[in-house]
Amino acid sequence: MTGLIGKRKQAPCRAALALLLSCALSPAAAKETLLVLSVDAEYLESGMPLYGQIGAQLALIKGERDAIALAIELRRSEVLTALPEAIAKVAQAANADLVLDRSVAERAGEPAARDITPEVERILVAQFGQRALEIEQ
Amino acid sequence: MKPLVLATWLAVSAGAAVASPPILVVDLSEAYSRSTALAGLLADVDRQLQALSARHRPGLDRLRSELGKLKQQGAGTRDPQLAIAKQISDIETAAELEQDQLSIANQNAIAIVNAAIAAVKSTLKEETQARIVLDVQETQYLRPTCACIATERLYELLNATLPRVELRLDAAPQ
Repeated sequence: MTGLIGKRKQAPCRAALALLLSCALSPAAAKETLLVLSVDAEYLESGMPLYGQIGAQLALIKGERDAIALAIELRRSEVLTALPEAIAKVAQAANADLVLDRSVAERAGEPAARDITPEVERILVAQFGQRALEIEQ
Repeated sequence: MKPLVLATWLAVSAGAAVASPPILVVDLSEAYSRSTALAGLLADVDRQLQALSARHRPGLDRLRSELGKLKQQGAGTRDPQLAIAKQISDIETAAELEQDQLSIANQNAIAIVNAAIAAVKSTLKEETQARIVLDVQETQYLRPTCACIATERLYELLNATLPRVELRLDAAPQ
């Protein structure tokens, strides 16, 4: 009976020892997991319809074309400036470690990383989609 | 219960000791202060520029002053003026040549550091068995507390493998 109790007590230690050994022998199994998300950076930086909407105002607003063109450029650069913040917002909400461009994610062996491009785009559209251009008179 | 607690502790600590992220990220934006080789190189270049200035500036100042005086004396001093202008031009050419050599030596030294950084990244990848080592510029977002940040280890390895880089002014362009 005593022997049986002794064996039972040793069992968890043996399991831990086995795990310890497996960790030491198999580093791949000991990899710390990272939550990696991806975006299509090119699309967010230049391909979104939002940029087209901003540019289209050149034909819709009456006034000096140079001033309107300048206001459009400024608005586009405002969107680009807000882009990292929008990505960070989605990443933090998801408790992510990293956000990589789709091509970098593939290179890093994370081709299945969840694509958050639509969520980032929604934030930017909500922020800038309806905002009127600020044209210097 | 005690053996179970011990077992759990052993398993967790064993996992923590060897666990490493599959992707590492390094931030090289402070390389000129964090790398002892690059910080030393920066100081060497600065010293060389000061030495270059100290070598040529007094002569140039003296010649420019002489030229100014001769110009005030009028057209009769045309030949000495031309001679001094030639001397000034020669000194300026020599200084430019020395600056070019310094620039080439600096580029060569930076290339050595860049090669060392690439080697250190490989070492880092091997020792952690990471799939890739990314520069922070390659990321769109990086959690500030991410276990994947390996900047400290990179500088540790870099400063151990290349504590100093020589600014070789006699070296041919690489």
